[in-house]
Amino acid sequence: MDTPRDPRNPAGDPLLDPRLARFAERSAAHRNATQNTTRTGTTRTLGAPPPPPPPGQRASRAPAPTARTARPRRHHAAQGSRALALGLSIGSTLGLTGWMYAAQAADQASTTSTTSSDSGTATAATTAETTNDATTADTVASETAVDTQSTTDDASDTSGESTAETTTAETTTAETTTSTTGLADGTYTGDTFTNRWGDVQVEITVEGGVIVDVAALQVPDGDHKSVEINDQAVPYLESEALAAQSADIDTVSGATYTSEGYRQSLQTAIDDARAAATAS
Amino acid sequence: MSTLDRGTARRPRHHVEHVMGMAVSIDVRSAVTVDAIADVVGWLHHVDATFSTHKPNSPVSRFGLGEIGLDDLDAEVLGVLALCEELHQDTRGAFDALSVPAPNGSRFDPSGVVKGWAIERCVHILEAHGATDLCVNAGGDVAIRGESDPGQPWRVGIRHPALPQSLATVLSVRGPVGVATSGTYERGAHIIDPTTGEPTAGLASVTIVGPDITYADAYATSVFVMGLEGLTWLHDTHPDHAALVITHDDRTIATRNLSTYR
Repeated sequence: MDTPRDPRNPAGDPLLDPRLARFAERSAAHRNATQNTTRTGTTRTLGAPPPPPPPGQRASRAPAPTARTARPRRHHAAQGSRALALGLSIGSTLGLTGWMYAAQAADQASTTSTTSSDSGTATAATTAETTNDATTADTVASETAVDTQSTTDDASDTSGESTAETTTAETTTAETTTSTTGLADGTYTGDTFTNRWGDVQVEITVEGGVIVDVAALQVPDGDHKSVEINDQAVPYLESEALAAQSADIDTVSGATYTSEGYRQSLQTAIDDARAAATAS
Repeated sequence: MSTLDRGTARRPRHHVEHVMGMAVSIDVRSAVTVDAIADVVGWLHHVDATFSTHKPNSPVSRFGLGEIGLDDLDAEVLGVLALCEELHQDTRGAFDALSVPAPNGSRFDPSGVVKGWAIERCVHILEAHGATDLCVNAGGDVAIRGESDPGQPWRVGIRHPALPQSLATVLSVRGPVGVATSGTYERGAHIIDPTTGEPTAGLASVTIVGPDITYADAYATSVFVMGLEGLTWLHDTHPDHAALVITHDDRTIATRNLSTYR
């Protein structure tokens, strides 16, 4: 016998409802937050930068605190993950191979609940931060990648593995989380390392259990142009611009151009030529 | 399309449709009937009517403005919203349809994924008509199947961010593949970093190559927002995608696997 088809979900995607639920939650949070800002209804002309956000706008992505118990003010979760990513980037690009939390942080038991009020951004940060022992930046990065990879794998598999549903279910029941890193609030200083450009020391700041800032205390001088992003990124050898006419191309990939931009674009010439070739 | 073309003549076809605010080039090298092109054009206009944030009465606009709710949206739109959420989690917030100010005055704009998603479905339509060798280019996002000519890959030029009539490089690809490029040189600072609310400007251009233009398109915007760290993210989370990044100081950096597309 056939299971009745849900017209909202004809493909039977088991991830649809949790994702829609999460989307609805974030959408409502945005709507509540923007009611008090002046950006609503602003229209932008092409090329004109949007007005700067009014003070407090950065908090708009966090749900309005209602019944939550008072907790230390925390920066926007994405700031933390962005700062962490920046810190990891500084670490990897400057040859930093390890940095240690202060001793009392290392002894803290990390909590196993992992979620925060914002989905993907804090997921990455907390995945890295729930590591209990002192770890190298590379290990942290690889754990972040591994966890993100498994999340991605589950998310893209529509067979409905329970891990994926658990992940999304966790993110929708957020906001009762206490500490997400196991680190006490404060500032932690890493060891000083010497790389090809000089000495580097990294300092992290933790607020509300989340890394909210990563600072390089000593920034080496040197030629940063030769940095490789990681082992898998390489300088691209073709640094000179190619003339389109001699390149014999079939199509052009570029930043989205409007219909007006299209008329001056390389793609127009290609299309004209192809149209002539296929005309009956 | 030729007005004299009726019936079932099968031949390679080429058509440019201006829709969704951009030009969509449809280049079918396989022999197909005119219906194949007509169906793609119809689909594109349906997408425009449903998802355009420039049209205040589209379902997406009305939803963004709070005039209708999730329960009023049909399965197709719900699928795109779920895709937005999947991408938001996958890109750790770099892709966020809810942090982008939309032309309709709301803060919901899924256009960053709708374009690629719509193009991929154009390809499905053409494949349903029997096409195996084709290239659809919508405003710079390219979806490809098969070969351009027998034994020949498709040659995809990547526009140079600083020189509009020149190319940064040329990629040689065989389908199924999608090539998407993100940059601000065409429409100014329109890519908003969701974590700051400000336009991003760290990179001049990001090109992503992958099996599905839906995701290549979203990843291009996301890596653009992330900056150079995005290369690490892409390599770690989507090793089946390749990236080419051009910085404002003219450095060009690629993931190693881009060499499969040279």
